[in-house]
Amino acid sequence: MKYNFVEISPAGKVRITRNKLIVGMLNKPSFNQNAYGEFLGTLLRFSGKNIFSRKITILDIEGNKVLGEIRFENWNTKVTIDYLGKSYPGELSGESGKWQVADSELGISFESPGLTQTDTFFEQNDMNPAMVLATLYVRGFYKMNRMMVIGAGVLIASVVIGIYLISS
Amino acid sequence: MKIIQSIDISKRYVMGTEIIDALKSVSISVNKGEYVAFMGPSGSGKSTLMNIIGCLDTPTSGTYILNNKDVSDMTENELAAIRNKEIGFVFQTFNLLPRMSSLENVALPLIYAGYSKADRTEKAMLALKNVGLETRAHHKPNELSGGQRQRVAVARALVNDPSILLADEPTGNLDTKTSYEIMDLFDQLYTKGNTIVMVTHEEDIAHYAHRIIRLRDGLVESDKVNPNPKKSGQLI
Repeated sequence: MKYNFVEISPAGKVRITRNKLIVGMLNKPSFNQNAYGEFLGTLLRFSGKNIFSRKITILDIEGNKVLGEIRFENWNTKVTIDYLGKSYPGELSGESGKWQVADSELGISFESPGLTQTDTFFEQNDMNPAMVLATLYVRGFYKMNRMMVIGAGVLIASVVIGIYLISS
Repeated sequence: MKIIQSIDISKRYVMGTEIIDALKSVSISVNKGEYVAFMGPSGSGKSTLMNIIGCLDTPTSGTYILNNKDVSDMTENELAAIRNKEIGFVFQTFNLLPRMSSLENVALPLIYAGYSKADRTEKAMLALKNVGLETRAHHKPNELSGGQRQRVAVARALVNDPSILLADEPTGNLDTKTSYEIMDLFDQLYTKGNTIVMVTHEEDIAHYAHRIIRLRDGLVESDKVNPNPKKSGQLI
Protein backbone atom coordinates (compact mmCIF):
# COMPACT_ATOMS: atom_id res chain seq x y z
CA MET A 1 0.00 0.00 0.00
CA LYS A 2 1.27 3.47 -0.90
CA TYR A 3 1.23 6.28 1.64
CA ASN A 4 1.91 9.96 1.11
CA PHE A 5 4.76 11.39 3.11
CA VAL A 6 5.03 15.12 3.82
CA GLU A 7 7.88 16.55 5.85
CA ILE A 8 6.62 19.59 7.73
CA SER A 9 9.90 20.54 9.42
CA PRO A 10 13.47 19.52 8.50
CA ALA A 11 14.18 17.97 11.91
CA GLY A 12 11.67 15.24 11.27
CA LYS A 13 8.13 16.50 11.76
CA VAL A 14 6.27 14.30 9.34
CA ARG A 15 2.69 13.66 8.29
CA ILE A 16 1.54 10.45 6.59
CA THR A 17 -1.72 10.34 4.66
CA ARG A 18 -3.67 7.96 2.49
CA ASN A 19 -6.30 9.51 0.25
CA LYS A 20 -6.05 12.76 2.26
CA LEU A 21 -6.87 10.97 5.48
CA ILE A 22 -4.13 11.31 8.09
CA VAL A 23 -2.97 7.83 9.09
CA GLY A 24 0.26 8.75 10.80
CA MET A 25 2.61 11.41 12.02
CA LEU A 26 5.96 11.89 13.63
CA ASN A 27 6.45 14.95 15.78
CA LYS A 28 10.10 15.54 16.51
CA PRO A 29 11.15 18.99 17.65
CA SER A 30 14.35 20.51 16.23
CA PHE A 31 17.52 19.79 18.17
CA ASN A 32 15.84 17.44 20.58
CA GLN A 33 15.87 13.65 20.54
CA ASN A 34 12.40 13.30 22.00
CA ALA A 35 9.51 12.61 19.66
CA TYR A 36 6.18 10.91 19.43
CA GLY A 37 4.74 9.18 16.45
CA GLU A 38 1.88 7.10 15.27
CA PHE A 39 1.11 5.07 12.20
CA LEU A 40 -1.99 3.03 11.49
CA GLY A 41 -3.06 2.99 15.11
CA THR A 42 0.38 2.23 16.60
CA LEU A 43 1.38 5.06 18.94
CA LEU A 44 4.94 5.38 20.25
CA ARG A 45 7.28 7.78 21.95
CA PHE A 46 11.03 8.13 21.37
CA SER A 47 13.31 9.50 24.02
CA GLY A 48 17.02 10.35 24.10
CA LYS A 49 18.98 11.84 26.99
CA ASN A 50 20.49 14.70 24.97
CA ILE A 51 21.33 15.70 21.41
CA PHE A 52 24.56 13.66 21.53
CA SER A 53 22.81 10.52 22.68
CA ARG A 54 23.27 7.53 20.36
CA LYS A 55 20.80 5.36 22.19
CA ILE A 56 17.12 6.20 21.90
CA THR A 57 14.50 4.55 24.05
CA ILE A 58 11.20 3.51 22.46
CA LEU A 59 8.28 3.92 24.86
CA ASP A 60 4.51 3.58 24.81
CA ILE A 61 2.62 6.82 24.08
CA GLU A 62 2.14 7.56 27.79
CA GLY A 63 5.92 7.36 28.20
CA ASN A 64 5.59 4.74 30.95
CA LYS A 65 6.60 1.43 29.41
CA VAL A 66 9.89 0.77 27.63
CA LEU A 67 9.22 -1.21 24.44
CA GLY A 68 12.66 -1.16 22.89
CA GLU A 69 15.59 0.98 21.80
CA ILE A 70 17.40 2.34 18.76
CA ARG A 71 21.19 2.17 18.77
CA PHE A 72 23.16 4.21 16.26
CA GLU A 73 26.43 2.62 15.19
CA ASN A 74 29.27 3.01 12.71
CA TRP A 75 29.30 6.83 12.62
CA ASN A 76 25.52 6.91 12.51
CA THR A 77 25.32 4.99 9.26
CA LYS A 78 23.88 1.84 10.84
CA VAL A 79 21.24 1.22 13.46
CA THR A 80 19.89 -1.67 15.43
CA ILE A 81 16.30 -1.35 16.50
CA ASP A 82 15.21 -3.65 19.29
CA TYR A 83 11.46 -3.75 19.66
CA LEU A 84 9.35 -6.08 21.78
CA GLY A 85 12.07 -8.71 21.95
CA LYS A 86 12.96 -8.67 18.26
CA SER A 87 15.97 -7.06 16.59
CA TYR A 88 15.79 -5.14 13.30
CA PRO A 89 19.02 -4.06 11.58
CA GLY A 90 19.04 -0.87 9.54
CA GLU A 91 21.47 1.05 7.43
CA LEU A 92 21.85 4.15 5.38
CA SER A 93 21.08 3.20 1.82
CA GLY A 94 22.95 5.24 -0.79
CA GLU A 95 23.72 8.91 -1.20
CA SER A 96 20.13 10.12 -1.04
CA GLY A 97 19.97 9.44 2.67
CA LYS A 98 17.31 6.74 2.54
CA TRP A 99 17.25 4.41 5.51
CA GLN A 100 16.45 0.76 5.10
CA VAL A 101 15.34 -1.36 8.05
CA ALA A 102 14.91 -5.11 7.66
CA ASP A 103 12.76 -7.74 9.27
CA SER A 104 14.99 -10.75 8.61
CA GLU A 105 12.44 -13.19 10.02
CA LEU A 106 9.89 -12.16 7.39
CA GLY A 107 12.47 -11.37 4.73
CA ILE A 108 11.05 -7.87 4.18
CA SER A 109 12.39 -4.36 4.57
CA PHE A 110 11.12 -0.81 4.73
CA GLU A 111 12.88 2.10 3.07
CA SER A 112 12.36 5.67 4.22
CA PRO A 113 12.20 8.61 1.81
CA GLY A 114 15.55 10.31 1.18
CA LEU A 115 16.73 13.34 3.12
CA THR A 116 15.77 15.87 0.46
CA GLN A 117 12.39 14.30 -0.31
CA THR A 118 9.83 16.37 1.53
CA ASP A 119 6.67 15.50 -0.37
CA THR A 120 6.69 11.98 -1.73
CA PHE A 121 5.29 8.55 -0.97
CA PHE A 122 6.46 5.28 0.49
CA GLU A 123 5.34 1.69 0.32
CA GLN A 124 4.44 -0.34 3.37
CA ASN A 125 2.94 -3.76 3.32
CA ASP A 126 3.77 -6.29 6.03
CA MET A 127 6.37 -4.24 7.91
CA ASN A 128 5.40 -3.59 11.51
CA PRO A 129 4.02 0.00 11.69
CA ALA A 130 6.27 0.55 14.73
CA MET A 131 9.30 -0.15 12.53
CA VAL A 132 8.04 2.31 9.92
CA LEU A 133 7.88 4.95 12.64
CA ALA A 134 11.29 3.99 14.01
CA THR A 135 12.82 4.22 10.51
CA LEU A 136 11.29 7.65 9.95
CA TYR A 137 12.61 8.69 13.36
CA VAL A 138 16.09 7.46 12.36
CA ARG A 139 15.83 9.45 9.13
CA GLY A 140 14.95 12.62 11.09
CA PHE A 141 17.73 11.96 13.60
CA TYR A 142 20.29 11.49 10.83
CA LYS A 143 19.09 14.58 8.98
CA MET A 144 19.34 16.72 12.12
CA ASN A 145 22.81 15.31 12.75
CA ARG A 146 23.96 16.17 9.24
CA MET A 147 22.59 19.69 9.62
CA MET A 148 24.51 20.07 12.89
CA VAL A 149 27.74 18.81 11.28
CA ILE A 150 27.30 21.14 8.31
CA GLY A 151 26.47 24.03 10.67
CA ALA A 152 29.55 23.28 12.79
CA GLY A 153 31.67 23.04 9.61
CA VAL A 154 30.45 26.43 8.40
CA LEU A 155 31.11 27.94 11.83
CA ILE A 156 34.67 26.55 12.02
CA ALA A 157 35.39 27.69 8.45
CA SER A 158 34.09 31.19 9.26
CA VAL A 159 36.28 31.37 12.37
CA VAL A 160 39.37 30.14 10.45
CA ILE A 161 38.75 32.64 7.64
CA GLY A 162 38.15 35.40 10.21
CA ILE A 163 41.41 34.62 12.02
CA TYR A 164 43.27 34.47 8.71
CA LEU A 165 41.85 37.83 7.61
CA ILE A 166 42.64 39.49 10.95
CA SER A 167 46.18 38.09 11.06
CA SER A 168 46.93 39.07 7.46
CA MET B 1 -25.29 12.00 25.54
CA LYS B 2 -23.20 13.71 22.87
CA ILE B 3 -19.89 11.98 22.12
CA ILE B 4 -18.94 14.23 19.20
CA GLN B 5 -19.88 17.88 18.97
CA SER B 6 -18.42 20.14 16.33
CA ILE B 7 -19.45 23.79 16.52
CA ASP B 8 -18.79 26.00 13.49
CA ILE B 9 -15.68 24.08 12.56
CA SER B 10 -13.68 25.48 9.67
CA LYS B 11 -10.45 24.30 8.15
CA ARG B 12 -8.43 26.46 5.83
CA TYR B 13 -5.31 25.35 3.97
CA VAL B 14 -2.96 27.86 2.42
CA MET B 15 -1.05 26.30 -0.48
CA GLY B 16 1.25 28.96 -1.90
CA THR B 17 -1.04 31.73 -3.08
CA GLU B 18 -4.08 29.49 -3.07
CA ILE B 19 -6.45 29.35 -0.11
CA ILE B 20 -8.58 26.24 0.24
CA ASP B 21 -11.52 26.22 2.63
CA ALA B 22 -11.81 22.49 3.15
CA LEU B 23 -14.51 22.92 5.80
CA LYS B 24 -16.78 25.93 6.17
CA SER B 25 -18.45 26.30 9.55
CA VAL B 26 -19.56 22.71 10.00
CA SER B 27 -21.70 21.94 13.04
CA ILE B 28 -22.65 18.35 13.73
CA SER B 29 -23.15 16.20 16.78
CA VAL B 30 -23.10 12.45 17.24
CA ASN B 31 -24.70 10.82 20.26
CA LYS B 32 -23.29 7.89 22.18
CA GLY B 33 -24.37 4.66 20.50
CA GLU B 34 -25.07 6.20 17.08
CA TYR B 35 -23.97 4.62 13.81
CA VAL B 36 -23.13 7.35 11.31
CA ALA B 37 -21.77 7.30 7.78
CA PHE B 38 -20.02 10.27 6.19
CA MET B 39 -20.36 10.47 2.45
CA GLY B 40 -19.25 12.94 -0.14
CA PRO B 41 -17.37 13.29 -3.38
CA SER B 42 -13.66 14.01 -3.58
CA GLY B 43 -12.98 17.51 -2.23
CA SER B 44 -16.18 17.57 -0.17
CA GLY B 45 -14.29 17.87 3.12
CA LYS B 46 -15.10 14.41 4.49
CA SER B 47 -11.45 13.43 4.98
CA THR B 48 -10.72 16.77 6.67
CA LEU B 49 -13.69 16.29 8.97
CA MET B 50 -12.59 12.72 9.77
CA ASN B 51 -9.07 13.97 10.54
CA ILE B 52 -10.53 16.49 13.00
CA ILE B 53 -12.99 14.01 14.54
CA GLY B 54 -10.12 11.54 14.95
CA CYS B 55 -8.04 14.28 16.66
CA LEU B 56 -5.39 13.87 13.96
CA ASP B 57 -5.80 17.49 12.93
CA THR B 58 -7.12 20.65 14.54
CA PRO B 59 -9.67 23.08 13.10
CA THR B 60 -8.64 26.56 11.96
CA SER B 61 -11.64 27.93 13.85
CA GLY B 62 -14.58 26.56 15.78
CA THR B 63 -14.89 24.17 18.69
CA TYR B 64 -14.65 20.39 18.79
CA ILE B 65 -15.85 18.61 21.90
CA LEU B 66 -15.09 14.90 22.16
CA ASN B 67 -16.63 13.02 25.05
CA ASN B 68 -17.11 16.29 27.01
CA LYS B 69 -13.53 17.45 26.43
CA ASP B 70 -12.81 20.51 24.31
CA VAL B 71 -10.03 19.21 22.09
CA SER B 72 -9.87 22.16 19.67
CA ASP B 73 -7.07 23.92 21.56
CA MET B 74 -5.22 20.88 22.88
CA THR B 75 -1.51 20.47 22.30
CA GLU B 76 -0.29 17.69 20.00
CA ASN B 77 0.82 15.70 23.05
CA GLU B 78 -2.61 15.96 24.63
CA LEU B 79 -4.27 15.00 21.34
CA ALA B 80 -2.11 11.87 21.11
CA ALA B 81 -3.26 10.81 24.59
CA ILE B 82 -6.91 11.45 23.63
CA ARG B 83 -6.54 9.39 20.44
CA ASN B 84 -5.04 6.55 22.42
CA LYS B 85 -7.88 6.46 24.92
CA GLU B 86 -10.97 7.59 23.06
CA ILE B 87 -10.67 6.41 19.47
CA GLY B 88 -10.40 3.01 17.87
CA PHE B 89 -9.34 3.27 14.24
CA VAL B 90 -10.24 0.76 11.55
CA PHE B 91 -8.39 1.32 8.30
CA GLN B 92 -8.94 0.05 4.80
CA THR B 93 -5.83 -2.10 5.16
CA PHE B 94 -5.94 -4.55 8.03
CA ASN B 95 -2.35 -3.97 9.21
CA LEU B 96 -2.08 -7.21 11.12
CA LEU B 97 1.40 -8.42 11.98
CA PRO B 98 1.90 -11.57 9.89
CA ARG B 99 3.85 -13.69 12.40
CA MET B 100 1.45 -13.06 15.25
CA SER B 101 -1.76 -14.95 15.94
CA SER B 102 -5.12 -13.15 15.92
CA LEU B 103 -5.01 -13.11 19.71
CA GLU B 104 -1.52 -11.57 19.79
CA ASN B 105 -2.48 -8.96 17.19
CA VAL B 106 -5.55 -7.94 19.17
CA ALA B 107 -3.56 -7.89 22.43
CA LEU B 108 -0.89 -5.59 20.98
CA PRO B 109 -2.51 -2.26 21.98
CA LEU B 110 -2.82 -3.63 25.53
CA ILE B 111 0.96 -4.01 25.77
CA TYR B 112 1.20 -0.27 25.26
CA ALA B 113 -1.53 0.26 27.83
CA GLY B 114 0.48 -1.63 30.45
CA TYR B 115 -1.78 -4.65 31.05
CA SER B 116 -0.35 -7.88 32.47
CA LYS B 117 -0.09 -10.87 30.11
CA ALA B 118 -3.03 -12.65 31.73
CA ASP B 119 -5.23 -9.53 31.48
CA ARG B 120 -4.14 -8.96 27.88
CA THR B 121 -5.09 -12.50 26.90
CA GLU B 122 -8.45 -12.25 28.66
CA LYS B 123 -9.35 -8.88 27.13
CA ALA B 124 -8.12 -9.84 23.66
CA MET B 125 -10.08 -13.10 23.76
CA LEU B 126 -13.22 -11.19 24.78
CA ALA B 127 -12.69 -8.73 21.90
CA LEU B 128 -12.29 -11.65 19.47
CA LYS B 129 -15.46 -13.22 20.88
CA ASN B 130 -17.26 -9.91 20.24
CA VAL B 131 -16.41 -10.16 16.56
CA GLY B 132 -17.21 -13.88 16.40
CA LEU B 133 -13.65 -15.09 15.98
CA GLU B 134 -12.83 -16.78 19.28
CA THR B 135 -12.27 -20.06 17.43
CA ARG B 136 -9.65 -18.39 15.22
CA ALA B 137 -7.68 -16.88 18.12
CA HIS B 138 -4.53 -18.88 17.41
CA HIS B 139 -4.62 -18.55 13.63
CA LYS B 140 -2.17 -16.29 11.88
CA PRO B 141 -3.42 -13.66 9.37
CA ASN B 142 -2.45 -15.81 6.34
CA GLU B 143 -4.73 -18.55 7.70
CA LEU B 144 -7.72 -16.20 7.75
CA SER B 145 -10.01 -14.90 4.99
CA GLY B 146 -10.09 -11.16 4.13
CA GLY B 147 -13.28 -10.70 6.14
CA GLN B 148 -11.82 -12.51 9.15
CA ARG B 149 -8.70 -10.33 8.99
CA GLN B 150 -10.82 -7.20 9.03
CA ARG B 151 -12.75 -8.66 11.99
CA VAL B 152 -9.45 -9.09 13.85
CA ALA B 153 -8.60 -5.46 12.98
CA VAL B 154 -11.97 -4.36 14.38
CA ALA B 155 -11.36 -6.41 17.55
CA ARG B 156 -7.97 -4.74 17.92
CA ALA B 157 -9.58 -1.29 17.53
CA LEU B 158 -12.13 -2.13 20.23
CA VAL B 159 -9.89 -3.88 22.74
CA ASN B 160 -9.12 -0.67 24.68
CA ASP B 161 -12.85 0.19 24.95
CA PRO B 162 -12.69 3.44 22.97
CA SER B 163 -15.55 5.95 22.93
CA ILE B 164 -15.81 5.82 19.15
CA LEU B 165 -14.94 3.37 16.43
CA LEU B 166 -13.71 5.41 13.47
CA ALA B 167 -13.65 3.46 10.24
CA ASP B 168 -12.09 4.70 7.01
CA GLU B 169 -13.51 2.81 4.03
CA PRO B 170 -13.62 -0.41 6.10
CA THR B 171 -14.78 -2.47 3.15
CA GLY B 172 -12.48 -0.88 0.57
CA ASN B 173 -10.27 -3.98 0.31
CA LEU B 174 -13.01 -6.57 0.43
CA ASP B 175 -15.25 -8.26 -2.11
CA THR B 176 -19.00 -7.63 -1.99
CA LYS B 177 -19.92 -10.69 0.05
CA THR B 178 -17.21 -10.04 2.63
CA SER B 179 -18.15 -6.34 2.74
CA TYR B 180 -21.66 -7.36 3.78
CA GLU B 181 -20.14 -9.62 6.44
CA ILE B 182 -18.23 -6.66 7.91
CA MET B 183 -21.30 -4.45 7.75
CA ASP B 184 -23.18 -7.16 9.59
CA LEU B 185 -20.48 -7.04 12.26
CA PHE B 186 -20.77 -3.24 12.51
CA ASP B 187 -24.51 -3.66 12.95
CA GLN B 188 -23.92 -6.12 15.81
CA LEU B 189 -21.43 -3.72 17.42
CA TYR B 190 -23.98 -0.91 17.09
CA THR B 191 -26.61 -3.09 18.73
CA LYS B 192 -24.18 -3.67 21.62
CA GLY B 193 -23.96 0.11 22.14
CA ASN B 194 -20.77 1.03 20.30
CA THR B 195 -20.57 4.43 18.60
CA ILE B 196 -19.50 4.00 14.99
CA VAL B 197 -18.44 6.70 12.56
CA MET B 198 -17.61 5.44 9.09
CA VAL B 199 -16.34 7.16 5.95
CA THR B 200 -17.31 5.52 2.71
CA HIS B 201 -17.81 6.49 -0.87
CA GLU B 202 -20.01 3.44 -1.47
CA GLU B 203 -23.70 4.31 -1.36
CA ASP B 204 -24.53 0.67 -0.76
CA ILE B 205 -22.29 0.48 2.33
CA ALA B 206 -23.44 3.85 3.73
CA HIS B 207 -27.00 2.53 3.86
CA TYR B 208 -26.03 0.14 6.65
CA ALA B 209 -25.58 3.18 8.92
CA HIS B 210 -28.51 4.57 10.85
CA ARG B 211 -27.67 8.15 9.93
CA ILE B 212 -26.03 9.48 6.78
CA ILE B 213 -24.25 12.84 6.69
CA ARG B 214 -23.42 14.08 3.20
CA LEU B 215 -20.78 16.71 2.63
CA ARG B 216 -20.20 18.88 -0.40
CA ASP B 217 -17.77 21.76 -0.91
CA GLY B 218 -16.86 21.87 2.78
CA LEU B 219 -20.46 22.11 3.96
CA VAL B 220 -23.00 19.64 5.31
CA GLU B 221 -25.30 19.07 2.36
CA SER B 222 -27.68 16.79 4.23
CA ASP B 223 -27.88 15.06 7.59
CA LYS B 224 -30.62 12.44 7.65
CA VAL B 225 -31.66 9.53 9.78
CA ASN B 226 -31.74 6.39 7.66
CA PRO B 227 -35.26 5.05 8.30
CA ASN B 228 -34.46 1.60 6.89
CA PRO B 229 -30.85 0.66 7.58
CA LYS B 230 -29.72 -2.23 5.46
CA LYS B 231 -29.25 -5.62 7.00
CA SER B 232 -26.67 -8.15 5.96
CA GLY B 233 -26.75 -9.03 2.30
CA GLN B 234 -29.70 -6.78 1.47
CA LEU B 235 -29.47 -4.79 -1.70
CA ILE B 236 -30.73 -1.22 -1.86
